Amino acid sequence: MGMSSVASTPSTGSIARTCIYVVLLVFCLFYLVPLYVMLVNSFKELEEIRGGGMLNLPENFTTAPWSSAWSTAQIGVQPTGLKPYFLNSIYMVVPAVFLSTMIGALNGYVLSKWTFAYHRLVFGLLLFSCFIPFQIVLIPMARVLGTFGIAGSTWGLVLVHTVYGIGFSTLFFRNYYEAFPTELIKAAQLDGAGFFQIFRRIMLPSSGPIIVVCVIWQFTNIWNDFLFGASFTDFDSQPITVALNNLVSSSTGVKEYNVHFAGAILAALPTLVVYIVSGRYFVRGLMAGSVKG
Amino acid sequence: MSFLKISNVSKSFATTQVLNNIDLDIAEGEFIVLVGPSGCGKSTLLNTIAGLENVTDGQIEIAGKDVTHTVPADRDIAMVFQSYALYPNMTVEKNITFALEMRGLSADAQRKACAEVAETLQISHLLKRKPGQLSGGQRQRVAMGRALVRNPQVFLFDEPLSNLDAKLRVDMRTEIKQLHAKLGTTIVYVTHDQIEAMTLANRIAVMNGGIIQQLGTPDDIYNHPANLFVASFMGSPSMNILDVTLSSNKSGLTVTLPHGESFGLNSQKIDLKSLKDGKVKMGIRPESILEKAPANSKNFAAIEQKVDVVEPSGSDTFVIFELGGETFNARFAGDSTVKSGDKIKFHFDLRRIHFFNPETGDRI
Amino acid sequence: MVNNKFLSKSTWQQILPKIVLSPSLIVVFAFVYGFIIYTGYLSASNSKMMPSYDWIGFVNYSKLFALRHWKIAITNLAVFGTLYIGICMILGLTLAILLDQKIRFEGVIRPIYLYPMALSFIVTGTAWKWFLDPGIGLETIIQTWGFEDFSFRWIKDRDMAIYCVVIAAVWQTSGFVMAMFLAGLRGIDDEILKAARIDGAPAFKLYTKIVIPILKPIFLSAFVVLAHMAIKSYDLVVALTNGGPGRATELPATFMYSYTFTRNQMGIGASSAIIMLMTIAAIIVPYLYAELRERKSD
Repeated sequence: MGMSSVASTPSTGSIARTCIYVVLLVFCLFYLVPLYVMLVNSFKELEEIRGGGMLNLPENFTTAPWSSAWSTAQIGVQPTGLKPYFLNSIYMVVPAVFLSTMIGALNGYVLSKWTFAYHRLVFGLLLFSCFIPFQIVLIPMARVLGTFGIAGSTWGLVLVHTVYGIGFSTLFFRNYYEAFPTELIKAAQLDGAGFFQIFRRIMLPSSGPIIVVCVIWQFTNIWNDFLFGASFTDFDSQPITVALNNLVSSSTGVKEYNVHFAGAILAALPTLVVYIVSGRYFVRGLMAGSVKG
Repeated sequence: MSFLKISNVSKSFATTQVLNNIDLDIAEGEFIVLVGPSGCGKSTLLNTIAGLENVTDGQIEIAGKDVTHTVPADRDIAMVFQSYALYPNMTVEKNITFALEMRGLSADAQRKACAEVAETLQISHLLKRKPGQLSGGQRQRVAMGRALVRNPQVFLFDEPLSNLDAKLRVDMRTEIKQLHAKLGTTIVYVTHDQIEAMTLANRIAVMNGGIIQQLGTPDDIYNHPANLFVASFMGSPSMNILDVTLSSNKSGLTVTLPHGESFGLNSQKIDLKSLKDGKVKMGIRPESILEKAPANSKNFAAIEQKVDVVEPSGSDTFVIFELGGETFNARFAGDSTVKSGDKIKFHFDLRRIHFFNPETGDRI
Repeated sequence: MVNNKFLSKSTWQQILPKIVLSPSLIVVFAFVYGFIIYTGYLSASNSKMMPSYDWIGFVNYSKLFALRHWKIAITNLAVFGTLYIGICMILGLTLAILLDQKIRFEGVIRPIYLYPMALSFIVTGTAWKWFLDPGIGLETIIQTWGFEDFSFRWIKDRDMAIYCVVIAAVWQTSGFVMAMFLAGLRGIDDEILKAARIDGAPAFKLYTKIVIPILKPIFLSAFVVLAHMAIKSYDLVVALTNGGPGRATELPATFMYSYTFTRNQMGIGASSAIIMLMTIAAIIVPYLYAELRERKSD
């Protein structure tokens, strides 16, 4: 986003410009306050939060809520903390991201450079699968996972996320390869390279940016998923989003806000880190997922 | 004996026919240029020779071998693309040797072949660079190198110079011609630039609407265009065309212009029977309309018109005037002093007048 | 003459791409379109706790639309969807235009607006659930600042709780809409703007007459993205209010889940899912069709 702005020169008066800065700043606060609240209150003792002053910095700084959220908090019936569920999410997300990205790359390569009759229709049908309300597949999917004997397992979730991730990963690669000069493939054919050789030697080495975009997108989506996690897992295989929701909404006992906040940050940490490290690619993925072309 | 033989080749995409029954016999070592406006099918024809596109119908033979259904890599051809199509992730050296690697040549043999070609094209100092670090002209050379290293039976060029600036284009044009003279390999070269076609070709195939309109030497194409399309496509500014009436009498033919003026032709013999009321299209190139002509020469007809616009271009002066409702262009000498508004005599060189059938467009 | 078909007759090379593509196609056809048909069939069956294949026609649909619970859900979706889409668009466009005024710290501000998009709705729901909680959150904060009569208990109020869902959802996605508009603004051809300025268009007119009309495709894209997110909204409601208080924040997505998996009314659950799908399809299909066609004419 380094292109020129619509506003040519700061021709507006200094009062107007001050107003603009004030408005922008107010919205910075709006977006930051929830994160700030989670952060400061995750280091407070429960009593301090109950006494009000949610926006204050901690009086008695404590990391107890964090260790509780990570390893001892009651989730469901077990006092395990979020740790096992965090690991579940990792076991789920790594293979699912790898598989959906690889499949998407090959699909995109075929649908842009080896087109056939009705390839547009096929692409449209793949793409539509990104947008369906997943409620529509819950019932049959539960039965299929049951039949395959992978219901309630991490592998079941890997399968589900890979299948429903193909649409977007194909979109990313297809649009990226579409802009890739077709003459290069012709030249490689004349040079004697075949379908996979062209993919491996010519396409893949130039696909760095789109691989990053796709991996980040799939990682964020799959990590943050709740619906599939809640529908297709048992207590041992829940991803972190489901565990966090169980932690926060459990109706028994006292509400440990500080632990909830620490847990929420733990659940958000991987995607936040990805966003901070490579926000540019994250935005590109968002854009490619909405404004095609 | 023809070396590259294209017989009855047709190609259609869905409902549109891009190539219509093309026949083309090319001799070994010949330099053939396919020229025509965009969409005329010239690039498609080249692609079918390369095997990058299937033909719908017909046959292609290279060196006596039917290659119609052979994959591009096995046709023993090499191609230089308009965009150069250099692999962006590979060094220049890797770009040049990729095809050799695919054919299983040893690393040593690859390096040796690459060095030789790089020498010829003077790109030895660029071998370790990536295409992104090269100028347009250097990329062009690398693209040629990639084709040369294969030592193929046929070279295919797809508008290879159109991405270069004007000066470089002229230099490269000369170099390609020298290269052809040195290697003697058969070349099929596609361009939309008629100057390139004229300067490079042994024979030119002018294409339009998926059909070869005329195949001939540059001299043939320019001086004896087979039809109106070829006449007006080749040459810049293009040939002036005017509807006239021909009639015959004892001394020969008489040409009557739309506004009634007429002049006689004694050198040409034309069969008027096939024409309706003697109506034809007359064509004359700008350089065949002279400012001054030898006195009393029977080879010139003087027609007086008002000069509309004068466009000096240094070496020539283009004089634009109106005749019978058409805009005419005459090429006068660079030092001509004609001014717009002048009423002057234009001398039409009667030996260089072409006539075309107004219905078929064919040369009479 | 754009054309990607450069295949040779070598049969293997010709079918290889199709072989590579077909597993994805088979899987997607089975797991998406096959499942849609299956759910469609269930919606016309008398399935309760387990799927049943006894065909009962459209009974489930008439039952569905007679349910008060469903009426609440679709009314809520209408309110939520309208406000969510409207506010996100207005806020997104406004912030984009303001950020486009050669702002000094744009590089800092932009990521701040956008980061919520990287979070899970469950995290967002947790944060806002406690921040809006009258016992410890916003109400208490303002009261401790001296405004002791201040009251803000929307999240506990049947009539207002749905607006809390709107607030949290806008917080999460408006930055993304801003980024879309900003990209649109940056993509406008400089020469058009120069021409408008030379024609003497004042800043305000420049935006209303030139810039915003040019951004029309972005409005469309933003609408499509936001609308389908609104219809699919599930996680946020679960984490923020769990549909409550009472059923005050039920949406079709939560309705479907509870009827299918906790109330053992699978037939009705399936029919609600079909209604959701058709609503989304009515928005997405014309959009995709137009998007994919446009490329064809390139």
